Amino acid sequence: MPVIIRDDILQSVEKPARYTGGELNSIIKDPSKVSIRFAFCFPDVYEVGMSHLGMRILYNLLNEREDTYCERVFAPWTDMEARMRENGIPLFSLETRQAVGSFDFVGFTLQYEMSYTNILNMLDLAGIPLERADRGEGQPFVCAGGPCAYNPEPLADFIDFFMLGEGEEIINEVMDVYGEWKKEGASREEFLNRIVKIEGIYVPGFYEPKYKGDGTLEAVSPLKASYPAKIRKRIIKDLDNIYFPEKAIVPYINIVHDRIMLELFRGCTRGCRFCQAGYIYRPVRERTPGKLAELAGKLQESTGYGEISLTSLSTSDYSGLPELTGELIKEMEPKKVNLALPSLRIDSFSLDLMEKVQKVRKSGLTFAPEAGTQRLRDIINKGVTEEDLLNSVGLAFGGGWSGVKLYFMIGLPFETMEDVEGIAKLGRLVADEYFKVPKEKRGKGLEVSISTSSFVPKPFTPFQWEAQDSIETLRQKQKFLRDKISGRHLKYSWHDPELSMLEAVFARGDRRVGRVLARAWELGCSFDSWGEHFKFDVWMQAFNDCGIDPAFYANRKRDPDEVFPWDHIDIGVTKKHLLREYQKAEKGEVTPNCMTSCVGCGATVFGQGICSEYSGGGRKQQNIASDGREESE
Amino acid sequence: MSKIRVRFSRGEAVKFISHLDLMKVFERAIRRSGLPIDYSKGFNPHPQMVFGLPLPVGMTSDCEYADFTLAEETGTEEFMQRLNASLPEGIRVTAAAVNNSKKNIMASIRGAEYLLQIFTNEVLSLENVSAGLENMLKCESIKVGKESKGKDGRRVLRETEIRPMILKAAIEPVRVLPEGYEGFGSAYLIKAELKAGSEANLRPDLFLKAFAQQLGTTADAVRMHRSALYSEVGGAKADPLDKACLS
Ligand code: SF4
Repeated sequence: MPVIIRDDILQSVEKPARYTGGELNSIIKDPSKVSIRFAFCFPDVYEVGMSHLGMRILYNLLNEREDTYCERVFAPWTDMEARMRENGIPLFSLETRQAVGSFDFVGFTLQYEMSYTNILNMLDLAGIPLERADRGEGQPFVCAGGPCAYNPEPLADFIDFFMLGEGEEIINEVMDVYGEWKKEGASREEFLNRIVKIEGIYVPGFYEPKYKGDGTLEAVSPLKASYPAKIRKRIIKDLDNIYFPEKAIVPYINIVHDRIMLELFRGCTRGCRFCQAGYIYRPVRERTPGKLAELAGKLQESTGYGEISLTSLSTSDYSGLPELTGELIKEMEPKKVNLALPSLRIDSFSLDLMEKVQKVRKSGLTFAPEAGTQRLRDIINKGVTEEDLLNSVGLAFGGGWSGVKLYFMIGLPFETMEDVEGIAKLGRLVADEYFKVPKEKRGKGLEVSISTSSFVPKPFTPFQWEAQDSIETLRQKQKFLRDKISGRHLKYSWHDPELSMLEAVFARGDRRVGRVLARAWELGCSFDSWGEHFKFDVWMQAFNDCGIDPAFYANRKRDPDEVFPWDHIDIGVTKKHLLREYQKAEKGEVTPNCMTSCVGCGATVFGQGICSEYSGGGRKQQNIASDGREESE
Repeated sequence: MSKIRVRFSRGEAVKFISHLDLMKVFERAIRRSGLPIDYSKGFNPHPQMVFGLPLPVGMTSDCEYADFTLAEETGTEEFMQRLNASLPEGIRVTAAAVNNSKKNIMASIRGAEYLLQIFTNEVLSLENVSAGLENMLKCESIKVGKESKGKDGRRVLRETEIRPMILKAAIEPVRVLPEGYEGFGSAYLIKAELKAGSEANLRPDLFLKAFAQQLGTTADAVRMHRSALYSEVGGAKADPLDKACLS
């Protein structure tokens, strides 16, 4: 039975179209004709969730199955939540407007830690017990995947099973098992017993953490010998031949990325030491330009979108970029379809390309040098020099651009006040480049905006052992930098260090921090990543109530041999390699990217992507180091 | 170059879409359909289309209008069929005609008819409600506070005279109660004809506000539908797809 939502309710909330569905290319099936109903939940508002490519891929992929109906669910904004609670309306799906509590699966995608309270809130709105231990026969299985699932422990008490890595294959395998299991009418436990055999499935209830006297972990161990001791993530080998939707839902209201998203490749060859995405998605695997042009054409026809964006971690590293952009411009120009190029790196910045595709706006260009001095950029292995940056902005200013955004991090490991000051200096040098361009050639109204985020140490990066700066230290650095940045063309903005601290707790938290999460939710926290709803004092009360010290997780430097809550997860890259990278960072030594040489990070275990070009002899190996796989396993 | 005027409906699924978003829906549908729409010149080319009176958010309609300029001659049947194939389900083109008029649809609208289902917690008799409406219509002047944005961006209430913009209004019972509205004390329907368009425009919510003042109650829920939109030829009502409006 569909949930009924009267007009007076929808008329009283902001953006009611968030809740009404019916968009072009959304999938309508008869729920009584399928045996598996999957509620794909994004723990944030519609506009954010609909901008997420992974959800779109899996939504279409699941709906390719005749036995399955996958529907979308987003977190209702606080105004709608209030009306739903007043009127006894449970969390509902967008397609059929049915109660999520009656589905077979409730799947969450974990994109950022600060969405975790929304997960609990959505479960509560759906009338599903928050803790997995309290769920019984006939209730949905709550599962999760996505980048934050690589450290599943903070959510281990709430999620029945996690799917690690890229989802296209594993999710189908789980649905196959479920179909059989449902027919047999076997127990809940039995279903989990069956899927735990699938590579990439982590069933937290089958594992138990033990702690040492000092509060650090001793181990997270399987309760039975038949459960895998290490859970290896899944990756897709051949991106050209894996399912990619040729149709995309076209929302009625503006969403964050309101355009066709074309995924060029997965992974990143760079190895920036702070960047989790650079490690968890290894190795790099590309789609061919021919396949991409074909997909772009089909997506354009099915959506009518006027813009295509090339999305990947570092788009300008794509080997077929000239071929692909040439083809797309030729195809799309007559149809009045624009090409958008996000995340261009300044060291391979191509002004020509920018000229060709962005004919209209010449206001904003974005660069991410991340650190203010060469010393610190070497430490974080960000292969960008001051010269690169200044050349690029010089060219851009000469080409008529007048606005530049520069992204940095403060609180990076081994940072000194000189490095912080370096950010201001670099900003000044960028501004100077503008004035070197003759007046008649440059655009009007120079604006250099400098923005700093606070470094959050993440699992599966070389900095996973590092302490985060305290909130006070981060504040001091922000203030110091504010005083150093002067001149009317330079603007400075910064992030709340309180939010970064919480992120640090949940990024590297163990199973115990789940209690804090539940308590914070009880006390009214949700939508924490939305400034107006972030209640830091309430969070601190939650830590206090649970007797948990956030500094233990955020601000403590770990010993090289400390056991981490995510050590039983295997992303391919070994802990030994990460430690080696950490030690190189301390010495300021840089590591080449996978295109230049293979440093043996461990991702070869997948025998796929760029790594196999080395082992297969297609690429010459230079100073290859052992990936330390034998020792670490 | 040729011009086509269409009538289209907007159903329940798309009633919470703003006018601006609706234009984007058409822009994309046109692009999907491959229909030879004419584009404006300049850096950011826009398809040449003009819409009639924006439909307030939350309302369904079966009488919306739009004008399209085409770069190549296209038959009205073909135009309608290809556009429908590309539009989302909630929006349907129901009629199309060649348009030779110089006046665009936006400038031609003069009036609109609305069906307004009102639900109140209070129990009211249909006779009382009808009498209330009759009394209101007898007044020579009806003033109601209209909210608008002041110079400094703050909201201000301005007294507005609306009586001349109410052309007709009558009360009817709600014959089939929609699902979910069973819990209200009473339900009734107002059929109202109001001035609409660029010369004088009375929004139905303002009309309802005035009526609520008259009755001394508030509407606790309202379902709104636009059932007609018309222009004028020689002082008489005319359908925008009427020959007289198209030549
Ligand atoms: S094994 Fe070598 S080529 Fe493969 S991801 Fe690691 S460093 Fe790169």
